[in-house]
Amino acid sequence: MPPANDAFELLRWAARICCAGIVLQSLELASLWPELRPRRLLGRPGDEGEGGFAQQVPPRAQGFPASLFVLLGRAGAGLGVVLLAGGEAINALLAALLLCQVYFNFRFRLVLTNADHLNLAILAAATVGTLPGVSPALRIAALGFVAFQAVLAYAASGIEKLRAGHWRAGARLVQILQDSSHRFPRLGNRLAARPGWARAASWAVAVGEVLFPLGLLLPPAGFFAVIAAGLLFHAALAVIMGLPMFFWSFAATYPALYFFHGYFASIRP
Amino acid sequence: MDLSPRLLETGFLAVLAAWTLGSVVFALPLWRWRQRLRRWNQGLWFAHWAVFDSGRGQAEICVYSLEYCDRLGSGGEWVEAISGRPWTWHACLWQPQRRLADRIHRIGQDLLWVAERDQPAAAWLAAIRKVVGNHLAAARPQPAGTVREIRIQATRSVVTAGADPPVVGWGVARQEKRVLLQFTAGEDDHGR
Repeated sequence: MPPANDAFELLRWAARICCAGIVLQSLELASLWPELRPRRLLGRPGDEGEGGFAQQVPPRAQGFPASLFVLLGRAGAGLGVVLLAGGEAINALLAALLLCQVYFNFRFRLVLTNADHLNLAILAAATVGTLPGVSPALRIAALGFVAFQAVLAYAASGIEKLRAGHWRAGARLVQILQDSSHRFPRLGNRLAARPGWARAASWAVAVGEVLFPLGLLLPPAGFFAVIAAGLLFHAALAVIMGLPMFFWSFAATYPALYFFHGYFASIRP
Repeated sequence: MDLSPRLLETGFLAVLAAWTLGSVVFALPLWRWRQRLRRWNQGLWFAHWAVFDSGRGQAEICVYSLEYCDRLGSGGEWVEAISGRPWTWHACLWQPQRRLADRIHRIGQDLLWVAERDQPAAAWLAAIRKVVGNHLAAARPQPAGTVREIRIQATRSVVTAGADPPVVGWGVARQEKRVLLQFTAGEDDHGR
């Protein structure tokens, strides 16, 4: 990990982690290539009916192999960002990935998750913030933007859970464990049999998310404990709920949090 | 590349600031209108799940557990996958079936209120039945072709990316419960 005050390197690390997730996600989708039928990946929402934009584009350009080409290209660009040590090629790759993310977020705007929003924010910040010649202030602003998006995502998720009765009661957690596709019915059944545990676990998640931003103000040991807990949490979500991209997207914001933790520590009397 | 012009930097900072402000507005439940907007959007989403088969005089709505519906692939693909019939909503909007489409859209919006409540499955289904029934009873003018049948079927369907039915949902498409409302509409609703 670079020094906490090296905004450029921390932005690069944010981009690397985010792109590692993008590589895996793209390859996962590419592995489903037999399903990449016209308009599934390429096209616009609302083009499903007759006479839309998609009707004017040849099916070959919307489905396989065009979709596969886009996904492999995205994976390749992401791999480049992860592996390349430096150079302006990285900026070009990041810009391409940003454009791709803008398009995908538009294409799948009805089904976006926090991870998609964070990917967009990280790629935008890293694309501009790592350009040679930009001022240190802009780099710090880019990191601040990423850090704020992360803090907001955690806090908003926690607030939503605390506002939802089925989360507060623990029922939602049990339901996820029992019913979702990466389900753990045994664990779900055990929690269902012990409603107190389910309630405690739900509250722990919600309160942990709401209080997450305060981790920036903790001493280093406390801050790294919060970060470790965050990584564990997202790893668990990847397994339990099948949301692997959340792990990468949120982990990619941690270098920005690291920067601001260092900053707050430096100004503390 | 040297980005010397301060204007570019200022512009980018302005974009970041606006983006940040927008994020706060849309991430936190600060204003009532935002809740309404969200609900309206979700109503629209429900409507997206309506599929019509004018040949058979049927319409279906798939109602998903709300917290999961936003993880699914695009609506049309799912309707296609689930119903095995082509996605025809947009065509419907401009066809004589519009009246039925509108009605289903409104039902979808109201179903949100039901779906958001914490209820056991049986109570949920009963509430859905009531919402649909009330809608149909209150329709003014009463459509010439009335809905003859509402069949509600609660299923638990688990779908993973790459599974059958095929889904391209970023590898995170997960589906929980499904309630299928099946309408058998009268002839006028289908313009025949």
